[in-house]
Parts: sequence; structure tokens; C-alpha cells
Amino acid sequence: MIPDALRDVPALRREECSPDVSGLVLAAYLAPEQLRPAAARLLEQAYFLEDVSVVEVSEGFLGVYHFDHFDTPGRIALRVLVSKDVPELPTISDIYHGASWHERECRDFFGVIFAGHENMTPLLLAAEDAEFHPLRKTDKALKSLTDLLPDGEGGPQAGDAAAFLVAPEESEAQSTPSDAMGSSDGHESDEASAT
Amino acid sequence: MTSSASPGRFHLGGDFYTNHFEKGGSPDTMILNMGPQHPATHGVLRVIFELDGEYILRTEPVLGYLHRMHEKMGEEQTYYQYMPNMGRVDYLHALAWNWAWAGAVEKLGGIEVPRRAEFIRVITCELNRISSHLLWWGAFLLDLGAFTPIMYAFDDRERILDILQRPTGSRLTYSYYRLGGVAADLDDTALGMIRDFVPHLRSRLPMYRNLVTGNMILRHRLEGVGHIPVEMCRRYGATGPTLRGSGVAYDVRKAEPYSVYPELSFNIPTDDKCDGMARYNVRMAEIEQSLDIIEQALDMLPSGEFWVKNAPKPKWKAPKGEVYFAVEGARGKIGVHLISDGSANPYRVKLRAPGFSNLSLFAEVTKGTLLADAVAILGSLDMVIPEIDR
Repeated sequence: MIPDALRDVPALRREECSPDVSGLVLAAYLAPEQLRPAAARLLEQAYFLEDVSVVEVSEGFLGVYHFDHFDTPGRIALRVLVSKDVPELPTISDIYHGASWHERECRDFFGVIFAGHENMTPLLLAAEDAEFHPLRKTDKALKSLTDLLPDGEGGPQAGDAAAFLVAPEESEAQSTPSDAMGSSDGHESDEASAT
Repeated sequence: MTSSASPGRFHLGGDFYTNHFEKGGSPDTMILNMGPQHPATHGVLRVIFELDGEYILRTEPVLGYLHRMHEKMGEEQTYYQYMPNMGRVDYLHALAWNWAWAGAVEKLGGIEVPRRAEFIRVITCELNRISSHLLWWGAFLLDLGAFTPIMYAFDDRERILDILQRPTGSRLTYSYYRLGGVAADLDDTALGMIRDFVPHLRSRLPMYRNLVTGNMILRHRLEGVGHIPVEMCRRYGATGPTLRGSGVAYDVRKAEPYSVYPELSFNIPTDDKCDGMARYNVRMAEIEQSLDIIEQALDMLPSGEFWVKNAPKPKWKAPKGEVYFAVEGARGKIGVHLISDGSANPYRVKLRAPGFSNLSLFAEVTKGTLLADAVAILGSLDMVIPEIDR
């Protein structure tokens, strides 16, 4: 079931997953401007930040954000795709302070910039190598997002990648059908007060 | 460092590393470097402090002195070949990292693990957790000026290393788990050694407590020092004893049960004082819990295979897909995020190291404390630098 935390946060697509298969309960696909509201919403619901990473695919860079909960465990993945031409994601380091180092690590490895981050200096790699990004792939090794994700049930699926191909103005319309997947009892989440 | 080394987009004048760390307004402050080769950093970690007298105005840990790009190596090696890397990521709790990798790949490939192997994993992983906590105990107290405890800790830790050397063949950077089992069975000699070890360490723990826990110097150095509230753990993603020392009973072995842990009965020790002493108490209590787990697992150890018969070969290809698998390491939540494109090598490997998140809150915690407290706080976080840098 989709946690209450994300039910009314705008997203391109929300996909329920089976933790036994993928380790996730929910994968949400967001447009870059939807990331910060979603992260703020998760902090409000007392989720903690597990990690931030980037996956390079032929469509661009996929920012992957994992969150989990101390009291009601269940991993949530937020995903944002940005193009190779403008590899820039909004920072969430002012919301989740721990994201600061993760984002700097992503910049080191992939060259993805996190807009609004107060200190994008290299964290793990040498300053001399600031323009060398070791985890970037050659064109030959690059795979498309649709090629990477399986068709099976329970995890992120190949069809999910289509969410990113939707134009931003259509995103509202897209999020409506997937909203129906959550239970519609509409009661307020008590997770926020569970801390 | 020359200024030309700083490339365009990140153009920064002055010393690249300390650029973000310019001295504040007051002329009375001073910059102090600790590390990268300092006894209290337990590895190559550099910490820059801005001090006003002995009080800390600002802190910045500088990482990367031990960075080896393990994630890149994951893409270059097959699933099978990558296992020895895990012992190098966190050499104090290598088996937990072994497990995180094996578990992630097994989940991805749908590989069955024989029950005997699951119990052997529990026994060896918990032994390794105790040896990690023992070394932390000794080294932490060494930081605080007590020399004797580390000798006791090493004495008991040696016994664990002797036990684990039998099945694994090594004493530190174990590479013992395999996809679908473990590399070697626990023979009767090893089982006998473990049986003897559990009551032995139990009998030593009161001595540990008498020697140290009530010591006034230790209490003054730790009580009320390094206050980490739950909210801070959440924002930084701190887990493990650091989080449990803030009163949250969060343990991956219970929260996301894996292997045969649901069949074993054990508690999650917590202490809600949020200070260095709380983290100390949690780790000491965890040693006892691990001993309980080992004893139960020994009693329940079934006979049978220790490695599944049709185990993946070294060039085995994983099915296409994506998986996240987490285990509870001595320092917290170890996560492996794996994406496979169906070939013999992973497409992307992301290693979530607990120490990375735990250390990232260090700057905020040390603000306004004494420099001597910063040493105590760093020790109470139980850092393993290779894990943080990866």
C-alpha cells in the first residue's frame, strides 16, 4: 500500500513494490521540481534518509533517493531523471542535512550538480580530479532505463521509465490514476506524531 | 595546491580543502588540523576545527584519504569476484558486508541458501560483531586516556579471530560467504571453540564493567557529552548504536528481518540519554545480545549442506533487475543497491555505509563543545574510515 506520506505529493508516477522482491515498498518518479516538496513531506512524516545515489542511463542521470522509517519500516525510493546536457538536481541538503555529503559524492562520481547546495567541493576525490567522474560510462556500456528494469512484478518495472517521458504540464493528470492505488479512506496519518 | 588546479565551475581561491572553512570574523580564533594521521581518528581522517580558546566554533571532516572507488570495482568484476572487496570496506565487521553483498545478489537472482548456511552466517557474523565492538571498546578508552582496557579487549578478540580463522582462513578481511552459502563448514573443533567462548566472554563482561563503566573519569568525559537527539539522527540518516543511544529501537535484524533472525529471540538494547555514555552502554549490551544469539544458533544448527549444490559459477549472469538489501552491521545499517542489466557484471553498485551517515553529523554535534570532547564524540561514533571512504 502506498504510505500516506506520499499520497498527495505531486509525482509523475507512483509504483507499489514488494519488499521481498526489490527491498522497496514504493518507488516514486518525480519531476525535478517535485523532489524538494516530496523530501520535505517525508521528513514531516519522520522518514530518515538512507542514501542518495545516481545511476547513469542513456536518457540521462537518474537521481535515486532512499528513505526509511524508524517505527514503521518500509523503504521508499524517490527517482528523478535529469538530462546529460543540464545535469542538475535540486539539493535536499537543507531539508535532510545528511544529503549534503551524499550529494557531494554524486558530484564527484558523476558530475551531477545539486542546485542550491552550499558547498559543492569534492568530498572523496582529489581536487585535481574535480572534472573527472569515474562512474560515468562509455557510450557503448550505457543502457536505457527501459532496458535495465525488468518486466516482473514486485519491483520497479520497465514501464515506469515512461513516466519521465511525460511533459511536465501533464504531470498532474498523470498522478491522478496512480493515486487511486492507495486506500482512499482519507484519514490523517498518525505517523507524524509517532516521533 | 595551485589555484589552476581548481577547475572552472568550482573555481575557488586559496587552499582547496579549507576554502569553505575560512576563518570567522574574530581575530582571536585559530584553525586546528587533526589528522589525517592522528591516533584518535583511527585511520586516515582529517578534521579541521576553528577554535576559540578550547571551544569549537566550527568543524569540518575531510574525507577521501583512503578512497578506493569500490563502487567502480563492482562494475568491473563479476558478482562472484566482488566478494573479497567487502572485507576491505569495513575490516572490523567484514562478515556483515559479506552478507550484505551475498544477500543482495541472492535476492536479485532468487538463489536459495541452505538452512545450515544461514545459521553459520548468523554465528560467524555475530562473533565478528563482538570482535568489532571489543576493538571499539579498547580503542575508544585508549582515546580517553585509559591504556589497560585495550589489552583485555585484544585478549578476548584474539579468541574470536582464532575461531573465525578456522573456517575462513583469514583473521581480518574475511571473504567467507558465497552466493548461496558459505565457503566452508564449521567443523566440530570450531563449534567446540565457540561453545567455550560464549561463557568465557560472559564471565569477562562484569570485569569489563568493573574496570571501566563506573570509572569517574570516563563518566565525566562521556555523560552529557555529544548530545545526538533522534531528530538529528533522522536528518543525517544515523543508524546502529549511534541511533539506539538516542533511544530508538531500530535494528535491521528486526525492522527488515533477513535470514533466520526472526527465529531467534534477542532484544534491541537502547539508552535514551543521547550522549556518549548512552552509546557506550548500548554497545556493551549488544555484546551480551550477540552472545545470546550465538548460543541459540548453535543449539538450532541443523545438519545438511553449507553451500547450495547448483551455486552460481564465477561467471554467473544475474537476471535483469534492481534490488536493495540491508543488514545490521556493527556501526549500523549496511545497504547494497544493485542494478543488473543481465550481464555477468553489475550495471551499478551503490554501497550505503553506516559510518558515512554517522560521521556526517559530527560537525553539528561538536559545535560549541570543547576540543577534548570532540575526541570523545568521535570515539563514541565508532568510525571505520575505509568504510566511510569506500
